[in-house]
Amino acid sequence: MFRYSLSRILLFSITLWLLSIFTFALNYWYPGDPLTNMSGVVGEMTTAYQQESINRAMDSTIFRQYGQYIAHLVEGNWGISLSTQEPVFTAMRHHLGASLELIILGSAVAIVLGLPLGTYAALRQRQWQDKLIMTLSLSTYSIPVFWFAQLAILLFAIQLGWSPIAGQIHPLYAIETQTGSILLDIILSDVDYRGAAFINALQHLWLPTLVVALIPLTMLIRMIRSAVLDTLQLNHIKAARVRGLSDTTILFKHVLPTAIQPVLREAGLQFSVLVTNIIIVEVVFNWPGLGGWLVKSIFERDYPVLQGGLLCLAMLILVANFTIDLLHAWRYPQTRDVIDAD
Amino acid sequence: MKTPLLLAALSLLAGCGPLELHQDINRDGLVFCSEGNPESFNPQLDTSGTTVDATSAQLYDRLIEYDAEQQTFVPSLAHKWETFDGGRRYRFHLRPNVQFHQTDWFTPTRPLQASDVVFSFTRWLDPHHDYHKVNGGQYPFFRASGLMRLIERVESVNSTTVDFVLTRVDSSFLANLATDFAVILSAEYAQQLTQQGTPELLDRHPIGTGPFQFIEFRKDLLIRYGANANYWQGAPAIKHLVYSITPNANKRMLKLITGECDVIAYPLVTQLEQRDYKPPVKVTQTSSPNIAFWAFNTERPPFDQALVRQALAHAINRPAIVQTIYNGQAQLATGMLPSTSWAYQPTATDYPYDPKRARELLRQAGYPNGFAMTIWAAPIQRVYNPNALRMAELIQADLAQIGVTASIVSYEWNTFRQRLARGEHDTALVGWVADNADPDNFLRPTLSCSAARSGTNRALWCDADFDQQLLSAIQSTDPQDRQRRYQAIETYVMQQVPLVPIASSLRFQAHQHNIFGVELPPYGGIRFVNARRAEHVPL
Amino acid sequence: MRTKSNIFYQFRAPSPRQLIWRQFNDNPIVVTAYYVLAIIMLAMLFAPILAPYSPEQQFNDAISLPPAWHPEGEMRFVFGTDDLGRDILSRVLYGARYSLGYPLLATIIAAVIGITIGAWAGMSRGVQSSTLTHFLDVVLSIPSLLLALVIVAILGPTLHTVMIAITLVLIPQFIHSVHNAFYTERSKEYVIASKLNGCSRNYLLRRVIFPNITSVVVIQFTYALSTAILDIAALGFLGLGVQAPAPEWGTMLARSMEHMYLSPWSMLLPGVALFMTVLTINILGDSLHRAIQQQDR
Repeated sequence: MFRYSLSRILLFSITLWLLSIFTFALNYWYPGDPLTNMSGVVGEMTTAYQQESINRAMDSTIFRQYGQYIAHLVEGNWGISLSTQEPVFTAMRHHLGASLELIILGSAVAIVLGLPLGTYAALRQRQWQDKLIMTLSLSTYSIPVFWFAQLAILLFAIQLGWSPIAGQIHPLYAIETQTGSILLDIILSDVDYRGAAFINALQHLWLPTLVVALIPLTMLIRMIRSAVLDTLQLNHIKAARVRGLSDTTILFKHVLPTAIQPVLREAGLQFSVLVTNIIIVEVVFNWPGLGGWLVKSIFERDYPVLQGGLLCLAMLILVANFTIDLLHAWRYPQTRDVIDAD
Repeated sequence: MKTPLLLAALSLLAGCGPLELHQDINRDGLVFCSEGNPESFNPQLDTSGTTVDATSAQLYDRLIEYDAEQQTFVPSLAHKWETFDGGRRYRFHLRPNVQFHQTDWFTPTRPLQASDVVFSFTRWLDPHHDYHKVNGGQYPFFRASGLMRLIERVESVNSTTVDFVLTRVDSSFLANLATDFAVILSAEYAQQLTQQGTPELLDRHPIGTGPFQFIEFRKDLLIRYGANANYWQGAPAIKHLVYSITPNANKRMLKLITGECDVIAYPLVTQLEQRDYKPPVKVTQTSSPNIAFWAFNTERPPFDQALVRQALAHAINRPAIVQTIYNGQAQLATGMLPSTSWAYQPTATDYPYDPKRARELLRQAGYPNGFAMTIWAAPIQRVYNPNALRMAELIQADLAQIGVTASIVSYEWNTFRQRLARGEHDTALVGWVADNADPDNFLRPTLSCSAARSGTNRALWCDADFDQQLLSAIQSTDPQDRQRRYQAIETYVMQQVPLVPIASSLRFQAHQHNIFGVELPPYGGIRFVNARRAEHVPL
Repeated sequence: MRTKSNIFYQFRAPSPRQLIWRQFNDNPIVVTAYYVLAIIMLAMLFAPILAPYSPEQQFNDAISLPPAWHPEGEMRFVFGTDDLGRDILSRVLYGARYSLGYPLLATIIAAVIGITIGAWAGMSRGVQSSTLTHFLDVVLSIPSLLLALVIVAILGPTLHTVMIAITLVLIPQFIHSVHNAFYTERSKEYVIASKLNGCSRNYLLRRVIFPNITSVVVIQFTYALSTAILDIAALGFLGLGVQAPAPEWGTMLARSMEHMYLSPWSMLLPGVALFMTVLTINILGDSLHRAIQQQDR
């Protein structure tokens, strides 16, 4: 495990390094002045600009500039936004909290609904339940997320009134933004209408979570179904059945632990699908997360924000993949031996 | 088809919907859904209607106000004023005991004094003032309206009296002082900020004397204000005022119907009327002196040729645009002045829809095969234009008929305005809302040379003859003479056609049936000082 | 006498391709999907002939009309008009070019480039190969939409830049799967046998290994195609893709969101078109995948 972790950490670090080079290079590829793109300081004649230019070693070689860029990143100085003049790093933290809220809750919904449904479909293979679940999941997998979100709003928010149209919480509830995640912020705050605010936040939360969870849910169903089908063929399951173990015992103690392995291996792919959906859902539901922030910054040509958001999202994905890899390798030691064999 | 279902849903909401709020919060709070972010929290720095709506009547007061119905000036921070030197010196007597906001970051030690007024005006008058360059140093209204060159200096006579010394007699001076831009800031706060080394917070964490005070701003999300308990007119009934920023016009309307918004900006009135929005929503109509026009960047060829501009004016079908975009709730504009102005005279339109003539004029100008150009259109609703992007598409199709290829350019609203101010456009669909009842306000900030420098003249048109005519009109004191002069000016403008006037729109406000007292004055931004929510109003 | 006789009973074992085709035909859903996709492709190719009007033609007297079966609709606009008076059916038909044609083109180009690089990488050994694999793993973990957004942010949102962005973003997927496929095939006996026979590397690549990985390539192609379609539509929806007045389905959906309260039909037709396209491609890809898996078993 130790060697494996080490190799993964090495890979992770190298990837982070490559990512930082990429975002650094972006400053030069965006239209406009590279220093403005990096730091958000405008106006070439102002003292602030001169100061920033010295700080970031703009007069020396590109390696020096890169070094300063990394130093600034690590310090937490990610520049200031061109449209609000607020530091990118602080804004990013709040948006990260909001996105994480949706990601975690969406994944939870997908897992809680997907695993049982997929297993059920596998157990009833080729019967009508299986066909129904598979047809539904294939159809839902093909629906464009933004169209589904629109339809969901039309149905649940406008026609039925079960959900508000957009936002994290009703604006009259003044909850201080500490983490960005609305539920956590309500718990951390000390206003006297916490209960009502919490319920209101849940009302705003359920529809976006559902929409975000939908596609990973369908992917999960298909994966677990094929994994369970494969596992059921294995010899030790047949042996267990011969020995007279009950169905539930076989299912929960023998089949599922083995079947989860390929699902866990593919979980990284699911996560990137989740992030794609998050970007779109945040725009549609006006959720104050990283995705919406990133898209708005493209419209406003706010390059420091664009970089900050990109860096944050990419790091999030890399960290998630890294954690999943480690988890997978820790739980299933057999997979660890695959190291660059040639 | 969907009406019965919708009425059922609405009745469900009207009764005991799932969006019930905490009782106290609901009673004392008001949510206004606005169409965009303010550029800053000080209307001195900006002319955008969004900034004015967000800040001016809420955070600040002015020396005097304008009562549109009585057509007189009423006292506000100044309770009395008089003129000397044949109209070249104005003396204002300030009201005693007006308190500034008290917030987490500032506690005033004294009430409003003359030094505050002096500070508020000298900041933009004097280029060497400490605060002149803070947050950009651009004061577009004061430059475009000519106040910068009109006011020689502002001086305090004693702690409650202020004098304004003018360079010449001007009949629009009081009108300009009553606009939403001439707000009074706190000199003490400015001093504190200078000591702390953060002068830019003057316009970002604002302090004023107005009915509401600033609590927080989350970009693209909300602005939160709390009531000013020490307001000199008495604390407002609404304790929590929130601007929920919703750029999409349809979403705003939907939020009004579902109850997430109490009042909305720029409602899509025809859509509301078509779907029987009664009972929970009410729509009121107010008059608004505004004009939407299509401005040509006259500094850029081929728009520097009057022939080309006239050709393009003939090429577009303005009545169809008025019908499609405004759905009949606007008047076709024949000049810069709307019909509500006292200087207005109805004339026949100079540019009927005539593609053949347009092609002929283009040929004369030397463009027989047309050319390519851009149309810049705002992404959000304005008072004068509910959907600039759609209007641009209609124009694009019309232009294609005469061989001109137009592409549509748009950005986020503040970025859009910044780029327009830099003159990056070929043509732009913009407009103007008057700040006061004087016809000068329609012409000077939109077409004069000083306005071209300050960025509000989107046609970038600088014509010395026009400026001279404007000056003569404003120096005259006889209303009939002024009317004649303004007619001559209008004729001249329509000959040169640096911009094509399109329409003058009616202004609407939509709100929940139990909200009262939200004011939408014709020459100003929205006011919530007298707003209140009534309990148990029968549907 | 050697006469050519056609009456000759011979048992011909069906080739794998024919087996797959037969399996396809057995499944009615797959057959339907196949024909639906064929119809959409025909619509894309023959849009100028099939569409009743030009997609840019604005009818000022027919703004936001509902579909023809609605009491307020008119027969000349079967699926109604949008808020500028343009016929929705014509726009959807022409839009197939933007929403299916261009992704198809992008996928083909990406496939060609990706397969070439993947094949070359698959044949190489040593550090090169493993760095490429790991690097690719990382690039693949970043979602395609995010990468496309960044590229569009740099280059600006026009048709060309969107095409470049989507093509670039699809290439790593092809490299990855082809590289893996080559890697697995390379150690198989028939390849080793050919190598021992003295075949050149080029020959190995083209004639020996490549025909055996067509299944992988085809499956990857369908997956990439559906990704491309959804990504271009998503970019259009966010306003960063093909610009107005082009009738791309995603852009049409974004526009219809503004009017979904009063004219919900303008949201239905482009969405359904998009959904059907992606669904049929997914169905076909899915059954192909299963058919090939069964073959291997």
